[in-house]
Amino acid sequence: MSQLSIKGLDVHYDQHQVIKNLDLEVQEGEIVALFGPSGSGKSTVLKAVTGLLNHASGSIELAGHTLLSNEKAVPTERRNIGLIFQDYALFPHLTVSENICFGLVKVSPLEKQQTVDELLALVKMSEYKDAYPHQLSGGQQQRVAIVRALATKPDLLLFDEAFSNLDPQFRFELIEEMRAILKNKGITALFVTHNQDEAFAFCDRIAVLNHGRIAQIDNPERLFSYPSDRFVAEFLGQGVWLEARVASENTLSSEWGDLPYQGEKSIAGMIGELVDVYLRPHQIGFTEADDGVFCVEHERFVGEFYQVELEWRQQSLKIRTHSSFLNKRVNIRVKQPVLHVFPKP
Amino acid sequence: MPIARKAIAASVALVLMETLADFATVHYFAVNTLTTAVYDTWLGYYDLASAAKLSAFMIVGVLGLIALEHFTKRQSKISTDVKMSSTPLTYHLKGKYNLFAFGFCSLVLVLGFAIPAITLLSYAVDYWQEVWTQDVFEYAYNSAYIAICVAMISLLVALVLNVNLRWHSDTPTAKSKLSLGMLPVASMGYAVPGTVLAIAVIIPFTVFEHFINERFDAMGWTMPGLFLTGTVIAIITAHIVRFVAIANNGVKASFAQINRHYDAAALSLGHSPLKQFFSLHWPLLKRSAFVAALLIFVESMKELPAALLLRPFDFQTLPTFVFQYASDEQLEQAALGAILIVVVGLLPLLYINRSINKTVK
Repeated sequence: MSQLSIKGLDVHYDQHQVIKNLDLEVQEGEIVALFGPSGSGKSTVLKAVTGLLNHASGSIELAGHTLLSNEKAVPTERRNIGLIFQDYALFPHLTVSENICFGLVKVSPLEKQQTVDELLALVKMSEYKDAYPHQLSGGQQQRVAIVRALATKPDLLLFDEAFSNLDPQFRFELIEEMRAILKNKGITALFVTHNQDEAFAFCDRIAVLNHGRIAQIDNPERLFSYPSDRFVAEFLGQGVWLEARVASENTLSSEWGDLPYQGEKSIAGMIGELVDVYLRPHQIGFTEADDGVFCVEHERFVGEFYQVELEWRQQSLKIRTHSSFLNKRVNIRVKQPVLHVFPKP
Repeated sequence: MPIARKAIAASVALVLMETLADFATVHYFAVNTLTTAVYDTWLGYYDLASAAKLSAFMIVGVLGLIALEHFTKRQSKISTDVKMSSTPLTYHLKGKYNLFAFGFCSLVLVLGFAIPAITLLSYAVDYWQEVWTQDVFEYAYNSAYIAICVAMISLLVALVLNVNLRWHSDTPTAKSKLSLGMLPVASMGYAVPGTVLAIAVIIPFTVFEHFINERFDAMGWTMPGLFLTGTVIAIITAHIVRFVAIANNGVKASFAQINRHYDAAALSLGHSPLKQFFSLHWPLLKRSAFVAALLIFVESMKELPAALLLRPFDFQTLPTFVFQYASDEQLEQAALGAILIVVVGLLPLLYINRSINKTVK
């Protein structure tokens, strides 16, 4: 069953339309990312869902209740949505347990105590009950912010770039921990981010936003392998465009040789047509050849691999190799089958 | 110097405003200025209309100064943004330069405070018996009573204005633009001289009193009389208009320091904007609100011209009491009252300094 349902959402700032007729369905217990470049409208969608914008139109339903329609707009404080920010936003004048109890009204002191104990145990912070926010590390503050939002048993949790202030080292630890908690409790969440690694690690599905529209929504693997358009392909990671001709239902021919095709969509009907293929660094490699087309003039040792950068037809070609190719002549080869082709525009 | 120029211009504008507003000093030394002219035209010649015209003329000058200050402030904001990361360079003066700088700064302190204070003290000690009467206590009580009312009401006004602004500032509606415009207008009173303010208060108040009295008379009820201009309400109103800017600045600065995400988080936790003010904003800003109220209390204790022009018959505050003796060249008798004003002003400042030091630590 759909926990959050957004239909035909429009948001204007003055004359500028920021969100255009956006639809989004999030299932119960699902974690979905709103992922896009800055200015794509992801934070605006989040604000519209929380009710912090008062000029959104369309319809938003959460857990069977209408939050926004032509007739009404429920105020933020009655939407039962938890909010988690990049800067934690813990109230500085309150202790950890007072922060957690902030949203608990008409609850007995005993119940409050139980909630605090249970939630702090969940994030392994029981001993910090009486600490003030400034005495905690970033990761600890974010854990408290998350359980503070959980305390009111929200129908939806919204994460606004919630992990980007943390050290990379602890970031993914926290993301995994939070994902486990949300999954365990069956909580639905929306995660706004511009960081692909975080989106992939935290979410079940990812909605890629571009100019106020959802360009594609899918799980990380499919999004990566089957981008719906050129924007999504490029936004999900650097690569290089290669022109190819459909030779048969499972082969493409290109200036880098024949490429096997193993995509879901049949290209049998396109034989003879010119198409574009988007190749990512992990899909291409080198073969050393005395008559190679390229000469490797620069390479960078990154630790686990060498990063080689070549200029090819005004595109920058980044390739990872396991051994050094410096000052050698090479030819490019495509290591993996192609999964997706883009018809010529 | 080019970087400091704008800050200097802003300071000059402030000094000009204060000088323009000054009444007691110029009056005592019989220097004819616009402020004293307003006072004399009104109380000397009983010509309220001409006094009002003079006041209108001064308001134009004040508006010009406000515009200048506002403009330079905006300019300097831009220039400081650029060099935000640079740490202030401290420059250690040596030898005769050091001596000169120290001497010059000390001179200001000695001429401006030490010599007058010692003179007043010696007068006060000599004329102790004559002046230290029940009356002084009554005047001090009057002053304190007015100052407390002014401080509390100004703070309340500033809180209402700023809370309203907080609620509407991120939504581009006509209402939010109105609240945005209200704050600077409410703060303009600070630049208006007390005598001008007195005129600005007395005219509408008198009209209103006439209106109410006529109505009551027509209904056959007992007329309430001068329930505004004949009471301290007129003085309190004028002081609020003049000093609400202090509260506004204090409250505005504290609100600016409160992370906007706190509001959103509190809303999402079910606290309505009003509830949030008490659970979140007030605990975070009460300290600076208290400091602002103290400052207003001190300013209001000192304010003379408005009280002089608006006080009810036979009603004295400490400043009017001092002024009366001083105008009669009885400086010795005025000394004790003057010292009382200074002491009342200093005590809160000590507290404020201490609390600022605490926050810095």
